[in-house]
Amino acid sequence: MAKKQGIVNINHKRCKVCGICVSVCPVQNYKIENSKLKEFGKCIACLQCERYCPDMALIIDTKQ
Amino acid sequence: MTKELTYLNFLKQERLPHQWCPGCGNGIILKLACMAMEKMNFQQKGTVMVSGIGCSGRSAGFFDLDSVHTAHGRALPVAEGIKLANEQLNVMVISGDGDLFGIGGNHLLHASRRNTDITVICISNAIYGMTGGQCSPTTEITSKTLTTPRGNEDSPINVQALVTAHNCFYARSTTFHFNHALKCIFEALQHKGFSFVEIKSQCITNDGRRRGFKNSYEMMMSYKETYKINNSTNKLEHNEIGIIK
Amino acid sequence: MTKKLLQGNQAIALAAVKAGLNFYAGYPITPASEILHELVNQKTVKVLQMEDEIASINAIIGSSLAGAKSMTATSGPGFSLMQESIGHAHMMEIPLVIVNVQRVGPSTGMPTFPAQGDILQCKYGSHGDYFPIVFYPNSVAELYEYTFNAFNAAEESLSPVILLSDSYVSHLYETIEEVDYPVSKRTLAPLGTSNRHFTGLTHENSKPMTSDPEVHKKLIKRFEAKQKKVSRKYNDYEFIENKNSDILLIAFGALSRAAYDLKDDFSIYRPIRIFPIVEKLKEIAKKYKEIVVMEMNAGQYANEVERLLHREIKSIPILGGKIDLNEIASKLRRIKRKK
Ligand SMILES: Cc1ncc(C[n+]2csc(CCOP(=O)(O)OP(=O)(O)O)c2C)c(N)n1
Ligand code: SF4
Ligand code: SF4
Ligand code: SF4
Ligand SMILES: [Mg+2]
Repeated sequence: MAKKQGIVNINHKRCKVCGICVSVCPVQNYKIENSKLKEFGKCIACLQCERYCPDMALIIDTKQ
Repeated sequence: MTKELTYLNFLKQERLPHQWCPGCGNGIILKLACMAMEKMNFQQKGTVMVSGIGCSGRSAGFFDLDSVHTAHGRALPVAEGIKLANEQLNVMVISGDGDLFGIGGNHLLHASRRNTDITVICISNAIYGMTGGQCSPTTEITSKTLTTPRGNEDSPINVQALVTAHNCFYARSTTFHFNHALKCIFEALQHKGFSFVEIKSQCITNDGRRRGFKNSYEMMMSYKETYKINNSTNKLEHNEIGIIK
Repeated sequence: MTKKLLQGNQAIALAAVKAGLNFYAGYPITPASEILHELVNQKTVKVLQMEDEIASINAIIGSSLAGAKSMTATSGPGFSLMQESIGHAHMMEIPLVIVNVQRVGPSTGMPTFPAQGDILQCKYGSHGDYFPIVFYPNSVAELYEYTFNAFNAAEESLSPVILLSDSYVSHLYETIEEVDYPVSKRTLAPLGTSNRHFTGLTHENSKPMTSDPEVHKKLIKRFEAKQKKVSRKYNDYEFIENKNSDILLIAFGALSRAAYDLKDDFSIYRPIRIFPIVEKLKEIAKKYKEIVVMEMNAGQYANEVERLLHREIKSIPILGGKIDLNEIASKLRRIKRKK
């Protein structure tokens, strides 16, 4: 079975850099650098971050 | 093309970002409410949101619905008045623990007794968030807050006992238990009669920090450690979350 | 026209139904309870007996927003409990009718005796600036008529309108004509039809704006102008001129009925819309050397009249719920002599 892959869309206007997504991501796809959220293209589309982001700042597109 | 999170259409998205602190649980609960409303197929026409006063009290204003921001503690009687004047409306309340159990506690007693068909979601952060972190009716015993510097000496209010005393729907969940919390709200919305969902939620700024949590995720992890799901009981233990109907 | 013998409180209930009342929430209190008792028997009105007066006014805030013409009735202690939400209803622009049948206070005072101790509470009882329309009739027929006016003014101003009474007027039995006065329609769209946000926060177009003083000033100015404009439709007072008198006696409600007995010696002015004070009083007052306000409190309205007229006003406080004409007459004689 092909591994799921995700494309991460960060809405930086909404993101308050709370770090919940950073902690919740199982593949360490996020880091906060210079007070800005960065992602590293490792997303496996588990959707945890999309769910938990309190600021509706994340949308994860899934590609097979 | 980026997918659309259609449940967010229940919000006035142009008002985002909301004014809550980074990591505040309120935003997660706002989202949960939207998802449950979408599952219910609620429409803008025919749905009304009511909040009291507090950080949580700002919830109603974010919904792309007719909404009412009541005086502190008065969300329940306002919601009851709305529902009883027009039974066709879906009437929901999102408000805080201080608002619903403290200043508005008497109304909870009677709204549940009257079994008015409204759904109440309590953002239960165990603190008066908006006013700077004073002890609230749900603050745990021994917990330190701005007004209990030596630890809270009183027991938290037993919401489960109050609401179930009148045989109403009661559910408890946490912001960590996302899917469970969604199920709680969804079932509450399906319930005919008074339904109450208490969601433990993190206030990092005025509660968590004071108690040594580094960030809101740590607070959510503490919910994971503390609370176990039990959906087949008619009495939840202190460390259980679940649904009683 | 049908004639009916009614108690004052019954007249309020009957008129409320005719004015379109759909929803009533209240908490029992002497001397207002008869209104609740009457309404529970009305098929067209949803009646809730709530846990307290705070719940009562908030339930009717909700019901009114949901599209129902709504009312509550109480007396001083309950009226005090409602004060926060009265301001809130002004801020959210909700049409409501609040009946206050006054009794002797403060506190539980003399629950079965009439008083006029809530005059200033009507105008200043809540916090912040608001401009309430307040009617105070003095007969059963007038209670009936002004219940219509209160409902109409509430719809026209989108604000909570206060109908004052006292245990004396509310408990009188008098014959009235059951007139079908005109009724103002709802203009406020009911909840569940749009995406408006009703909030007590300072706001503009449904949006909370809590840090711009200009927005707040504009809001309060608009409220003031609106209340003034609507109240002009109800410039109601009674003036009994006595050409031989240079003293103007001001009285309202229960006490004004006793004042009628003094019309051979004094000119009598009775405000009916007691707030905002009817401007005409300025003109009428000019002709008089002495203005005397007699009221069943320690001088509440007298202060308001003084503020309006910028001149010294004599006050005759009648305390303790008893109206004794001899006592009043001797106090007036003293004023006459000193002059
Ligand atoms: C009558 C009244 N008393 C006090 C306040 C001040 N006040 C505003 S919010 C609040 C506490 C809210 O606590 P809670 O309901 O738990 O909401 P949170 O901020 O924690 O979400 C208080 C006491 C008020 N607005 N009105
Ligand atoms: S959870 Fe949301 S708000 Fe927090 S850092 Fe991640 S994207 Fe930003
Ligand atoms: S969807 Fe899952 S894997 Fe992808 S970034 Fe979010 S948390 Fe990480
Ligand atoms: S003070 Fe607490 S409850 Fe209020 S927004 Fe901040 S984190 Fe949330
Ligand atoms: Mg709280």
